Amino acid sequence: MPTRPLDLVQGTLDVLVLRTLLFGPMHGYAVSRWVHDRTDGVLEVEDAPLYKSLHRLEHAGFVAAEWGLSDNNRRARYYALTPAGRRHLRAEESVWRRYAAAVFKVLEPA
Amino acid sequence: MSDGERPRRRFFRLPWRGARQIREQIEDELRFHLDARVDALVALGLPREAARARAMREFGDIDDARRFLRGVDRDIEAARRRRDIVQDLQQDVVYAARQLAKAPAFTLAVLITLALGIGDRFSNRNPPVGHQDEASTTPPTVRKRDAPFRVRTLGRARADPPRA
Repeated sequence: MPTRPLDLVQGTLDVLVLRTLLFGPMHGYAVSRWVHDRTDGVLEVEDAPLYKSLHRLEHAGFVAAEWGLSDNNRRARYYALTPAGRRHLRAEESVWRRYAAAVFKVLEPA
Repeated sequence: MSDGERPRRRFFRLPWRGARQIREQIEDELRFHLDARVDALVALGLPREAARARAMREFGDIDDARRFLRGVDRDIEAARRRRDIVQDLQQDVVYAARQLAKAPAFTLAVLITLALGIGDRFSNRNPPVGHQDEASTTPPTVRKRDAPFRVRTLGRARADPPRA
């Protein structure tokens, strides 16, 4: 059976984006490449929802955006985690771990 | 730039973005992304046309994204505007309070002047219109000299009969 890429719920994408930005400020393209490479294509992440997520997170105050110069000297919009974003990521991460642990418990009954 | 925390003291602030600027910045951002992706795919050996098509496919519904981003950015800008205004007001109030604290004699003089003025206005010596102690069966007449405030109307008041 061919493996179908999993759909991503909105909240999950937000967490992935925040986690990616933990490495430092990045423009949207870098976030896109990082998420894509890291998930080995298992999660099909289109770029449109990714940019929506970035701007939504900016609105929520979890990331701050600033124009800067990219490696090839072009103007790009860089996103950086804010302290509130860091806290949000920590909270979401623990929710995710508990969720995953609960699912595993059901899948692998002792 | 907001850090989502308490407002920092800023010596300059970014100008508020208008609808056109928001649109242009979103176009710049999306163009940067697509160009970067096309360049990367071309570097992998794809012809430019095919690379462009693939970059667009990978992006997904770009028009929907445009609409969404514009809406969110307008909201971000409106929130920033409100925050800046409140912050300005706070700074003004703090500044005024500091200035007054720096000149206690002046502040005291102002307070006494205001207190005397306000007290006099509401004391029984000059009862305000409509609050006389006498039964007010007759409409109160106020001589011009006693009137607590001179009321000037712009244009002739309609109730006033024109003077002969």
